[in-house]
Formats: sequence, C-alpha cells, structure tokens
Amino acid sequence: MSKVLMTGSEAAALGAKLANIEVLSYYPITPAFPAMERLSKYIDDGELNCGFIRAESDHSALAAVLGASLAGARSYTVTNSQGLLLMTEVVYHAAGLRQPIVMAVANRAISAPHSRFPEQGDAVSQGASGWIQLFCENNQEVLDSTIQAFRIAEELRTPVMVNYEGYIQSHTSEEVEIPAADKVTKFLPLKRMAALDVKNPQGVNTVTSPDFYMDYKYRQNEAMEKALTFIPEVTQAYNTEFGRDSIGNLETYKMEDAEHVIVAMGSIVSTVRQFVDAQRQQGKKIGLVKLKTWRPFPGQELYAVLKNAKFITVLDKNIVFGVGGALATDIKAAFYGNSDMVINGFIIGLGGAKSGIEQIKQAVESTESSEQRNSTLWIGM
Amino acid sequence: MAKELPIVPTAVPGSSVETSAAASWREYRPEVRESQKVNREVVLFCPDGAISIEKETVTIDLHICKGCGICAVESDGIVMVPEYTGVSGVFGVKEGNK
Repeated sequence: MSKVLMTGSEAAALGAKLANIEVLSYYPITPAFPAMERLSKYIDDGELNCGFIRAESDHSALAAVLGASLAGARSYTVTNSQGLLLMTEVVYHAAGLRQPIVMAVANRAISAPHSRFPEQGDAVSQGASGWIQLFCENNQEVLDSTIQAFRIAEELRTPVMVNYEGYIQSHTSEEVEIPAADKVTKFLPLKRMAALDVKNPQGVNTVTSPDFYMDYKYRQNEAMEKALTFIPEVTQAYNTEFGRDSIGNLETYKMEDAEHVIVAMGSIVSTVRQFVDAQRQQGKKIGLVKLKTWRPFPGQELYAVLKNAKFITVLDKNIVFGVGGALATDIKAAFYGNSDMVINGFIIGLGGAKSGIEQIKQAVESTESSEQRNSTLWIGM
Repeated sequence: MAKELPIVPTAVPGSSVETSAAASWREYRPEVRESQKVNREVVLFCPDGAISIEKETVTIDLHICKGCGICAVESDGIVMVPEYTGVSGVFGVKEGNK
C-alpha cells in the first residue's frame, strides 16, 4: 500500500478505476465534476479500459449506465443534488431491475432556493429508492467504500450509492492509503450477470400484474435486509485482504460508560470526534456512533450499541419537511417501544451552514437541558 | 410466501401481444374446453359482449374480455385459467410451456 494525498473526488475515481469499471456515463455537475474529470482522464490516458458515454442529461446518464449493466458490464456513474433528482426515475428502475450499479454522490443541497453548498438532502431524497446507501466520513472511506460497493452490489444484485459531501470531501485533500491494483482485481472477480442476451431475447421491465408486483418488491426488500449482514462481511474480507480497518454498518467511538451519545453520518463525524475528545478530557461521559450504512437501516445494531445511553443527540444535515431529520426519524422508529431515553434530533448545516464544534455543543447542551423530549430543533441559524 | 421469481423482471418477446391488451388488467382468461356444452345464452351474460357463437363455434375476443369469469359460472364448457402460470415470463406463459 502506498499513501497519497487526494481529494474525495479523486478517491472515488480511483476506487472505480481499481474496480476496473467497463462503462461510465455522466453529465457534468458541481461538486461531483472533479471525479468525472479524473475518470475521463484515466480513460484518455489509456489507464482504464472503459467505455464512456456522453449523455445530454443526468437522466440519460443513469439510463445509459443501466443499459450497460443489463448487458452485463460493470457500470458506474457520478452525480449530486439536481443531477440525482433528475435521475430519480432511473434510480428506481435500476433498483427494481436489480442492477449492481455503483454511483458516487457528492452530496450537495437541493434547489430552491439554489445552493451549491454541502448537505445530505440529495441522498436522503432517494431513501425509499431501494439503493444501498453508504455515507463516508473521510476520503479513505470513499476509496474503500467504492471498492467494497461493487462486491456488495454484485452479490446482492442491488445498486449502491457511495455518498461523500461536496467540497468538504470532494474538494479537500487527505492522506489516503491505496491498495495494490492486482489485489483489488482479485477482490472483485467479474461475474457477468447479463439480463440482455441476443440469442435469447427478453423484454425487460414489462407491465407486471398485481399478482407479481408485490412479490418482486418483497424480493427486493429481502436483498436489502440481507445487506445488513453482508456489508460487514465484505468490510471484514476487505480488511483482511488489505490490512485496513474499514467499518461495517457503524462504528462506536469512546462509548465505554457513555451516558450521552451523538449519532451522525458523513463528514460531520470527524468534527464530532474532536468535540467528543475535548468533552472526554473534561470528564464528560460522552460518545459517538457513526453510521456508515443508512440504507438499509441497521436499527437493531444501533439499538444494541445505544441501549444504555440516557441522552442521544442525532445530527442531521438534511430535512424531511414536516417530519424532521431522516436519521433521527429512523432511530426513533427503530427504538420505538424499547427505550425511554431522550432522543433529540437536530437539523444542522443545511446548504453549507456552519456545523462546527460550536453548533454541536449547542445541540448536546440542548438535549441535556431540554424539557421537550424527542423533539427536532434547528441549530446554527 | 413470496413467489420465486427471476431476479430481473423480464418477459418472453411477443408474449404480451399473444395475451392481448386486456392482459394488463386480466388475471384469468376464459377458455372454451367443450364447445358443445356451452350454454348459448352465455353471450347475453357477458358484460363486454366478448363472446359470439356461430353454429357450433364459440369465440371469445380476448382483446375485449376483462376476465370477470361470469361466463364460466353461467355455462358449462368454459373454464377460467390464470394468465400467469409460471415465472419464466410475466405474461402469456402457456400451460405445458413453462
């Protein structure tokens, strides 16, 4: 392994290159673009033997990738925010057709009003789509997760989104350990699973009667649920193969005797770590649970690590209007009936708003002092 | 229990043509098994006018039939068969041809 300084965009592109993707299509959008640019350069320089399809929109880009995947090619795309929204119809197609597509999403706020700044609202909007969604804390995790995503997707026949936040990760350099290319090729053996076959032509995605539709959805959900145990198996195999310490569905940090636990996903986790370190030095019994797998939602696994906490502060860089943050809502649903702990959700850092130590401190203090239990509060306005 | 299905939802080409436009809402279709037993008044029972009888020949227009099954209740010689009898394609899998 060698260590290189690289941005999240470069880590995503390198992950896809090491996975030997065969078909790439995208439509330029910021902040996902540097990943696209890097992949195009790999192809142009002859370092990656991959078909590139220029698309006239994000909808067409994912449709092209879906077609390639149906033909049996290992396929990849990159997008964010408005691009992901425009893709939405095909996002659901890809999941329903059980195609092992991997997509990088450089999370960015959604219009209107227009914003180019980071948050997780774009990915959260696709939470019901049937894609496995992984949230990365740092650029190392972007690279590792991209490689693992292909193995997860191809085994479960379910597409995977690898989320990393725009700018905070996509445009920021960090040290990343790079696995050897030949070992990645061995880790990701290519099994062709073509649905399209010229010798035995089939119509794909024909009208399905009530007699069958629900059964297809059941099977789709079954694969998603299987992911909860399969993702940790893949990360374990990856760690053994590459000597890394990548996490399964979640990671616990300073959780021994923790009475107050912060739960978060994505880049904000790094800031929370610093906050927890500082609080621990002052003797506060505080810990952190980082969620990597948001879809499927590892509710039981989360409960197992959080059941002894008195207070839970959930940080959401997204808002589901009229409900609250997606992560807090999912946690409350998963814990229902099992616990009388305080679970307060906080909406933080939307559209690039400040989500630093100060805002996290406000959230934590609010949970401990709040008379309002299980509420949703907005921090940092 | 959920049915065992092909992972990718696919259908044999032309199969939806064979089973006609009405297949999108019909779950069962009538099949004439013994035309000599068919009650000639069944043409009056069909709410869609999909059945015609000329001499000994009973014809059911599957482009019109919505699969309600009234004919099979009112007359001998007609049975309702599932449109979907297998999993190798969504539409038009014929009996004995799974």
